[in-house]
Amino acid sequence: MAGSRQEQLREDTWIPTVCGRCYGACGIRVRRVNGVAVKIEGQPLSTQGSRGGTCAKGLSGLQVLYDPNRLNVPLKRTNPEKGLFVDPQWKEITWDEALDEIARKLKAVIEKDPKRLFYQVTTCRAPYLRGNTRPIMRTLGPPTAFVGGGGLHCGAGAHQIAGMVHGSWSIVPDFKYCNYAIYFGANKGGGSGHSSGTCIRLAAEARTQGTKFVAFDPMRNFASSKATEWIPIVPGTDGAVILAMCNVIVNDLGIYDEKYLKLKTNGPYLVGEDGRYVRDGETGEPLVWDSTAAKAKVYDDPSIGDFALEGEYEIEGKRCHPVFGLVREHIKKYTPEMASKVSDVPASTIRRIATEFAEAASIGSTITIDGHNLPLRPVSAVLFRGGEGHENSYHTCGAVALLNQIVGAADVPGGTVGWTPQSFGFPGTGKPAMHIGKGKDGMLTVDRFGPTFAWSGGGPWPPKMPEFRGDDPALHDIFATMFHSPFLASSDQEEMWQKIGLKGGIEMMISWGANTILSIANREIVAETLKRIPFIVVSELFSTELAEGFADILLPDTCYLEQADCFAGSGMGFSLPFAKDDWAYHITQAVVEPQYERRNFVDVLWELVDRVGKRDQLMEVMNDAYSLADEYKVKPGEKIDRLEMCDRVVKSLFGPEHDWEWFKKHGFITWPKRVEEAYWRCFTDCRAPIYFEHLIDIGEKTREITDKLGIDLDTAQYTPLISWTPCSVHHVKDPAYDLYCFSYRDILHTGSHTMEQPWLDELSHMNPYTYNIVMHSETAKEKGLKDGDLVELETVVGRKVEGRLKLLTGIHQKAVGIAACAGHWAKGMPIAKGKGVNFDILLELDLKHCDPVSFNMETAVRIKIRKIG
Amino acid sequence: MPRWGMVINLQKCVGCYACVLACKQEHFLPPGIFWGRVVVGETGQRAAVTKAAYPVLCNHCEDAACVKVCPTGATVQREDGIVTVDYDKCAGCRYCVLACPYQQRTYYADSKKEYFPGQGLTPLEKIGKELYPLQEGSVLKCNFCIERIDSGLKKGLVPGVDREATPACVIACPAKARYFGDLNDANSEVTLLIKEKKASQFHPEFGTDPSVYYILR
Repeated sequence: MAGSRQEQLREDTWIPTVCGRCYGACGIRVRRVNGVAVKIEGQPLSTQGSRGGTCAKGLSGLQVLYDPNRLNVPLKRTNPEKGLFVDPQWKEITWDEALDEIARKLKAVIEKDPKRLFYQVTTCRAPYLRGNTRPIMRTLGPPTAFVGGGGLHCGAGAHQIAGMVHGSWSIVPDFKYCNYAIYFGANKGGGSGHSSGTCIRLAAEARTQGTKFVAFDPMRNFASSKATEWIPIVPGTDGAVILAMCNVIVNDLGIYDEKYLKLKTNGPYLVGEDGRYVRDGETGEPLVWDSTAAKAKVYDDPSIGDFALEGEYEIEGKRCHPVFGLVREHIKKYTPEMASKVSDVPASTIRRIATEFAEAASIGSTITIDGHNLPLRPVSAVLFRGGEGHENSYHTCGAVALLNQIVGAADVPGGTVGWTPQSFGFPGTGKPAMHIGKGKDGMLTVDRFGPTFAWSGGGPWPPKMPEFRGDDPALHDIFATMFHSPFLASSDQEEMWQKIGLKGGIEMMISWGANTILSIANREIVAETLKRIPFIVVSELFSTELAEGFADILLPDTCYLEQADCFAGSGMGFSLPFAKDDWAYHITQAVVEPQYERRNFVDVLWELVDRVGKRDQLMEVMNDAYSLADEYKVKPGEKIDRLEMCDRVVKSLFGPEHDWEWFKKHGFITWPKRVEEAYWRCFTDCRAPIYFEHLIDIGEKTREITDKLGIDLDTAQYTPLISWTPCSVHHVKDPAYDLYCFSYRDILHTGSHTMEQPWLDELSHMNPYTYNIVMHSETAKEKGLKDGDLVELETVVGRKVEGRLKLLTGIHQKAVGIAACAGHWAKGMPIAKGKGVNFDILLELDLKHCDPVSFNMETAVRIKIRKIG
Repeated sequence: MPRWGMVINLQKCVGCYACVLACKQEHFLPPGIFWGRVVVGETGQRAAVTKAAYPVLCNHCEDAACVKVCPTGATVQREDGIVTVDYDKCAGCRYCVLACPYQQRTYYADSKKEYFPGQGLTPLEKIGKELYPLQEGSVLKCNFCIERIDSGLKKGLVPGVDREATPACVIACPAKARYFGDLNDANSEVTLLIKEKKASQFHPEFGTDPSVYYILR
C-alpha cells in the first residue's frame, strides 16, 4: 500500500493567496512541501470564490509555475524580419541591457507624444491592471491603452450599460433571492467570467432551491446546459427577442413597476419633438408632468404629487410626452412574430417566457432584510458576450436593462444586481469607499466606477461628448461611446489615420501578457498593424505568437504564484463579492520565489518609471489613486519599494494592525456587508435611463465630425429609443453561406494561456467538444457530414479554418461552434501548439464590423462548411 | 463500522473537471492516469436535449467485482467499504480492469512519462514520486482518499464534515455538488440526501451495490 512519506517532509505549509487564471480572482491556498508548490485549494472562509473549491483552470496553475517552457531570461530579436510564423532568432541579453534600451525608447516616445505609446495588457492581469498599471499609465501620459484579446472581445456595450444602470462593471442575478433568471448568451455560474467561482457556488445553490433558469443561447453548454429551459437562438438577435418580451409585458399584459419607473428611471421625463428632454428654463433640469397639480415641474421637485408616465402635454406651446409613453409605443413594433422571424425563437415561446418573467416579478412584494423592508423582485435578465458581441451591442444591452427596469428588478433583492458599487468601507477606516450618487439630470454616478482604486476618472455617466483632435491613434476623441478601439488592430487602420490626419502611428508597444495576434481577429489583419510598430516590448510567461512574430524585446514575467501584491481582483463593481455576500479583500503573495531571472512586470514598470525620471510623479498619482491616509502618503523624494507600498495600502485600508505581515499570514479580510450597500438602489436618490437621450447629441456631433473627415459611419443606432438592428451576419444573401459560426467560452479555458497546461490539455481531449468544431447532427446529415470528419469553414470573404467535426443536438440547427481561443502555433508553447481551432481567424476587424455606438466588434460570422478529409 | 460513500448532485455539478484535477494533484497521478473522470455527452432529443456531465470514480462497491477476480489478494475491501490495491501484491494481470463494470481501473504501464514530453520531470512531478510513490506495472484506481480519511479519523475529525478528513474531489468542487459520509449512519448527510433526493446508483443492474450515489437533475 502506497502512502505519504511524512518523514521526508522538511517543510509542509499552506499559503493563502488568490487565483490568477482568470479575472475572477477566487481566494485560494497553496500547499508548499520542501519548497515545491504541490496543491491548490479554494479558500473556504472567503466569500471571494466558491468557499473552498476551485475550477480546473485554477488547479492547473501548478503547471504554469513549473512549465519548462517558461521564459527565464530577457531575449532580444536578432531577425529583423517580423511577421506571422517568422523565427525571431532570440538572443539572450541582460536585464540591464533590456531596461536601458526600453527606457531610452520609452523616454523618447512619451516626451514626443504619449499616445504614440501603445500599452496593452491581458484581462488575466486584471488584478494588477487596475491597481498597478493604471497609476503607472497615468504617470506615463497616459498612453494609448488596450486590454488584449479580452478588450475587443469584452463587454463594450455591457460594461457601459451596466455602469449607467447598475453603477457596476457587469450584471448578475441576485441568486440568493431570485426565482426566475433569464440568460442571453451569458455564463454566470457556468464556470467562467466575472466572479467565476462565486457564481458557480451561488447559481448551484439557486438551482437546488428551485430557481428557474432560462437560457437563450445558440448552444446548450455550460450555463445553458444547467438551465431549466434552453431556447436556441440565432446569434445577434437577442435584442429583438428582449424587446418583444418588453412589448408583451408592457403592452399585452399591462404589467410594469410604476413606482420604480417614476422614481428610479427617466421614465417620467418629458421629451419634446426633437427627442430631447424638455428642460426647465431657469435651471436647465429635465421636466416631468405632475399629474396631481396638472403642471410641469423639475424632476426632483419635492412638491410633485404624482409623475405622469404617459400622455401628451404642452409646455410653452410645444408638444411633449413622458419617456415611458414613448418607449411603450416604440416597442409595439417588436411583436413576438417579428422577433421570431429573425431569431428562430417561436413567438409562443417569447410570449410564454415574457409572461412567466412578468408574473414571477411579483411587483409590489417586499422582503425584510436586517430590519429593512425592501422591494422583492425575484426575477433577473442578464446577458454577456453571446448576447452582446455583435454590431448592435449597445442597444441589446440597453434592452436587457429595459426588461429588468420595467419590472423594477434592478439592485433590489432577487433582481439583477451589479458587483456592489456602494461601500461604506471597513469599520474603523471607512475604506475602501465607493458611493453611488446623483449626477447630471438626476442620473446615477459612481465615484470610482469599476475597480476599487485607480480608475482614471468617474463613472460612465454623463457620457463624454466627441471632440475632434486628430491626435489619437485609437480615435477615442471622435467616438465618445467607443469602449475599446478596434482601430489599434483593424484592417482600416491606415485609412482611418489618414482621414484624421494622423502623422505617423504607434511608435512603441508594451504588451503585458496579451497575445493579440491570436485573440482578436484574423491574424493577417492584426499582423499588418503590428508590423507598423517599430519597437515592441512583450512581458510574458512564454514565447507566444505575438512575441515570436513581432516582439523586439521579450521579458520573462513571473506568474501569479510567484508574485506579491496588495491587489487581488479588480475590486468593487468588478470582482469583489456581490449582493448580500460579505465583503472580502484578498492580497496576492508569492508561494515560491521567482526562479531564474524572471521579474514581476509591475516591478519592471516601476523601474522604467524611475529610469524616465517620473518616480515622484508616480508616487503622487498612487497616493491619490489608493486614497492613502495622510500618514501613509509617499513624500516627494521618498523612495519606497513596492512591498512597502503594499504595506501602506493595506494599513491605510484596514488600520495599522492589519499590515502586510498580517495579510501574508491570513491572506484576506472579510467584513459584513450592509443592506444599504448590497441593495443601494432602495437607499439612493438617483435614476437610470430607459431612454438614451444622450445618444442624440453624441450622434449628431459624431456625424458632424465623421462627415467632415469622410468617415462613413452609420449613425442610425445613435437613437434614444432602445432598438434592435440587424448585423452584417444577418444580411448575407448567398445561400452557400448558410451557417452562423460563433466561439464560446469553454469551462477548461480562459483566454489562450490555458492551452499550455498538460492537465487542461488532457481534460480538453476528454471533453468531446473542446478541441472540435461542433454542429447539429441533422444539419450535418443534410450535408453528408459525419462525426470526426475533417472540415473546412469559409467566410464570405474567404477566411478559412479547419478542424474535426463533433455532432450534437444541443445546438441551433444553423449554428457552428468553436471553443475558446485555441489553435496556437508558437514554438514557445509546445503543449498548446496545434490544439483546437483558432476561431478568430474568421473575424473581420474594421469600422463596418463594429457596433457604431460601443464599437463592440462582430464576433459571429456566416460560413459555409465542406469536408476535406 | 462506517461504510464510506459519496453523493454527487448532478443538479449542482457544472462539469468543470475540478474533481478530476484535484484528484490528480492529491495523488500526483502521472500523465494519462485518472482516478476520476467526467463523462460528457447528451441525453434527450431536440429542444428537450440536455448536456450530460457525469463525474465518475471508483464506486467502492459493496459487492466489488474487482476484489473477486484478483488472484493475488492485492485488491481488497476494508471493513469500512473502501476498496484498495496493494501495489506490492499486484501482479499487473489486469483481470480487475476487465472485471470492473464501471471501467474505473487503469494499468500503470510507463512510469517514465513526463507531462512535458522530452523536457524532463518538473519539480512537481519529482516531488510527487517521493511523496506518493505509485508502482509501474500495477493497477491504479481511486481510493476515496484513504490517507485523508485515516489520518483525519486519528485526529478525531469527521470525514465529510472536516475538510482535512474528506476526499480531495469533494472539497475541490466549486459547485459543492459532492457529499461524503457514512452510509451506515442513518443521520449522516449522505444518507439523508439519498433518502430525500432519491439519489441512485449508476447501473444498479450490474449488481455490485456502489457506494457512490447520484442526485439526477
